[in-house]
Amino acid sequence: MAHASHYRMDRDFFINIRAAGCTLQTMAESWAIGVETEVTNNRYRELNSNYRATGSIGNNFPLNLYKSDKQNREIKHGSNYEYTPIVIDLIDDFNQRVEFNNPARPVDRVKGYTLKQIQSSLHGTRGPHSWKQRLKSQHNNPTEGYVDELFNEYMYDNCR
Amino acid sequence: MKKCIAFYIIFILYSCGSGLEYDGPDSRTYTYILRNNTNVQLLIKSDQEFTELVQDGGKFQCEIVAEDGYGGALCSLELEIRIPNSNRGYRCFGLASDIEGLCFVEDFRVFTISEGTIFTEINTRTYEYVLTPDLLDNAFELPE
Repeated sequence: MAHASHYRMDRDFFINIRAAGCTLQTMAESWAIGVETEVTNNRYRELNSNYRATGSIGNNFPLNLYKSDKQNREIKHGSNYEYTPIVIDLIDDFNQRVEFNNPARPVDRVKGYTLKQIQSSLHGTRGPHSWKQRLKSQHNNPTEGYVDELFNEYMYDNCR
Repeated sequence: MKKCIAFYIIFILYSCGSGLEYDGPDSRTYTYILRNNTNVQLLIKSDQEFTELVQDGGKFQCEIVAEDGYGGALCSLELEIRIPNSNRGYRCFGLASDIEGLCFVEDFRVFTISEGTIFTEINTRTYEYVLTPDLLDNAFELPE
């Protein structure tokens, strides 16, 4: 459904997306899995604030949530991993590098963006750089100074 | 004629599938083993709900289903190894905010399978760490 809404919002993004390669696919899949994660967790937390999702990696928030295993991934150069948690990381207040005390985890000092803001910045972009620049220029967020740092973790080394 | 139409519909469904395709990363089962070769039995607790008495030569094992490429180890974010009938042992935590300084290595090395891990990959997505007698020598006094 997130892909469908992305398609309705910006059909040209998907013209020959397979041929366009890893970068656009990473944006599309990261957006879609971010929506899936955020919407699912919001819904279940509304129903039960103490819910623990199947497959979650911890007992306490936010590691009790659906797709929390994404928080404990090592980002490898050129991995072509398309389902990055960048959307979740733009929203949540969980810095993997610090929380896991692990130098092999990404630095995520960004928090507080909304799905709506991330979607509006995605609209019309054709690469991670323009997505990032629009996030910073279109919305006021006290952590926007760290958006570059977060995008550097996922979006530039991934497809080489 | 009706039979032909029914056959045709069934044929189309089986040939083309439902049209829906799973879109997401592959899930894998990761297995973590702590093998007890310390010559004594150990009480191993992996979180609040799961405690196991592991005999010498035995093993503590847990599994987690996560995305391919998952980098965590064990199946929760805490591990207590206690020598039975004593208050000695180790307590390790996967989150920095929980760390008590009572682990046998830097805590994060117990909860990762990436660089710095204490685990060895012994099979595909199966990781093992062997607890040896020298582990007991420097055990901490654990708070209750």
